[in-house]
Amino acid sequence: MLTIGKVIFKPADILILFAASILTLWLYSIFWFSANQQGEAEILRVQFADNPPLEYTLSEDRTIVLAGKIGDSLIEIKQGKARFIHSACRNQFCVFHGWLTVAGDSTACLPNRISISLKSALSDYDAIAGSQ
Amino acid sequence: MSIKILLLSCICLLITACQPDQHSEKLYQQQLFSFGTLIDVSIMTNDPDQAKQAIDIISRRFDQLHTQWHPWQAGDLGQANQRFSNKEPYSSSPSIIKLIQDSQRLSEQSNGLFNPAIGQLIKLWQFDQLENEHYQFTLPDAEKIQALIQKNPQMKDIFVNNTQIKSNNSSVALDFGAFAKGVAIEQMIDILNELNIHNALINAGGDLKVSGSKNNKLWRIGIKNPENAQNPSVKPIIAAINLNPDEALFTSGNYERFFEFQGKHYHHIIDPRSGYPAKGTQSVTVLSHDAALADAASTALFIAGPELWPEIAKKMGVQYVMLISDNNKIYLSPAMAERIELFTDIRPIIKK
Amino acid sequence: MKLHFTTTHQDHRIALLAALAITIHIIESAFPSPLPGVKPGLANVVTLFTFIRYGWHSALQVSLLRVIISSLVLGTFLSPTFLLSLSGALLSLVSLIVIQLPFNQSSFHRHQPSALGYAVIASISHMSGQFLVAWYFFIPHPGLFQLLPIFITFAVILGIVSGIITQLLINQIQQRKL
Repeated sequence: MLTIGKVIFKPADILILFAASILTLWLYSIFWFSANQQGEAEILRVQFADNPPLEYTLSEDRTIVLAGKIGDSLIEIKQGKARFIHSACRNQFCVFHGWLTVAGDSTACLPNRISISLKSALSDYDAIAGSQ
Repeated sequence: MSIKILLLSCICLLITACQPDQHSEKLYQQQLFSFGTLIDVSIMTNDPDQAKQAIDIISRRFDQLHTQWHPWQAGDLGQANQRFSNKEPYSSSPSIIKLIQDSQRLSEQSNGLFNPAIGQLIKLWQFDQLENEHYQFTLPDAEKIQALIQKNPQMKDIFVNNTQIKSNNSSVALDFGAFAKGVAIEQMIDILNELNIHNALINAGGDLKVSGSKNNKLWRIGIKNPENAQNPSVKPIIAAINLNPDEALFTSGNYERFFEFQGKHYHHIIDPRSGYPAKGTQSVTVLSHDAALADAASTALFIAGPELWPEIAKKMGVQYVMLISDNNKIYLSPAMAERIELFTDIRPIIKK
Repeated sequence: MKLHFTTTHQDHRIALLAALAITIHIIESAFPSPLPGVKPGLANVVTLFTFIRYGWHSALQVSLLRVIISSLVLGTFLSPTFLLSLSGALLSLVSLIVIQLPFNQSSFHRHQPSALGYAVIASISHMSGQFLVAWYFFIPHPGLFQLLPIFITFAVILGIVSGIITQLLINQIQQRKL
């Protein structure tokens, strides 16, 4: 038993204080220092023609090659973001779109019938306006 | 004892009063390649089969409208355009007649900035070829553009007599590229309502309309920054807005559809006054209950530019506008300023 | 006709404690707060004291009387402020009751935490209750959770302070009968 002045600390108090500190640190780690902050995407969803959508985690860097109707489309996942890096199509809208970083954002290569979109359980937005 | 009874009844009252709606629905989402764009349909429902059926119906309807309203294919509008060039009458479907009449009104309200009669001009710029993979873009001939501007094709050149339509200006050709998507989305939300789906979001390439809400939370929309997303220092989302039930949000941007010629971008929003891609604006976002109006207005206000837009918006009956100019200034209508959340250090200019 | 209430000694005690809590609550609400939602929470000292000395039945009554009557006096009854205050008060009492459960057996009774431990528990759960209600009903934005660690840090610190105050209070009136 620990006494400071007239205040007595019992073992149970020490335990509670310890648990409270752990809880506080844990909350900081989740909401401040985690790579997955709110609205940040966790999953890349790839829809290829009428196939069921494929899902990839954004936490692992990788390149996905899809052979579409008019040629290959290359999709890159890097540091929690995703983009088209190459497309066989002429317009290159999908490549021009650049990085998808926010959950809800999407882009597509229409001639190749490939669309990619970012998803997150804690998504900030239900849709992104003004994207192609 | 009496205190306890009083307190208990208070608690009961409060708990029943603030109980959230227990009836919560699940999100069903599907992407479609249709209407020349990527369409994202989100439906709140407890019945996935119902959602699947609804999406099938919508998908078919989008495809149907795409051919029906295509300016140069063999559909209804394509045939009408052929007759217009010969000043011959054409017996058209009610859906085209309604498109014509609605856009005649909107075109007049926009001082002719929204002008679907300039189909020939759009064709000259080859924006009808964006879906053609083998096409080589070139710059259109300046004289040809000038000649078309001289002929001044207008919506009011078209006369409607019951089901007969006729143009007395042979340069008129209808291209509803700045209107069809809005009308179509409006129809799809109606179809969903008829199918008893009252909480949905239809997003066609970044233009969207919602119905109802997402389990009693308003649909929340992020607005893309028109600045090039290749640049990692640019915030991808410039603003956010919560949409009330049955509101539509349409954006016209110079980054959406374009072709590249000798290293230069030529975007798809053609100023009917000059015949060239409109200058001065990067993007316009319009919020309205009517998706068709929002679609037409976003194009008209894009062409109107940073100076003229408030006047045109007023004439078209549009309250909520955000315009981002070429020199990165953000203009807001007063009503929009109250609702939008901006994520940028740029101080917006509020214009009445 | 004359309504006749029979009041017990316990009712008097609760009325006295509640009156004290209400006074503190109202005085506290007059001071500006560094962070919205962060208050010293001295009113909770009364609830805590009641809980430790007289058990959760009394504490619940004192706590609810404080929340309801203060809000009536301050004109915030059934307003968001009131809902926040109520949710915090209820959740903190519930967690106190839960924490005390294992110590109700007589063999463990002497191991139960002192005012300090209880105060930290009460403070954290009070803050969490308010936070969840604020998030669910008023600001359903996931960004709000960025603030949660800060709020909980304040809750722990203020919990320790109010725990020490409560313990001193208990020591002071150990012998007196209220």
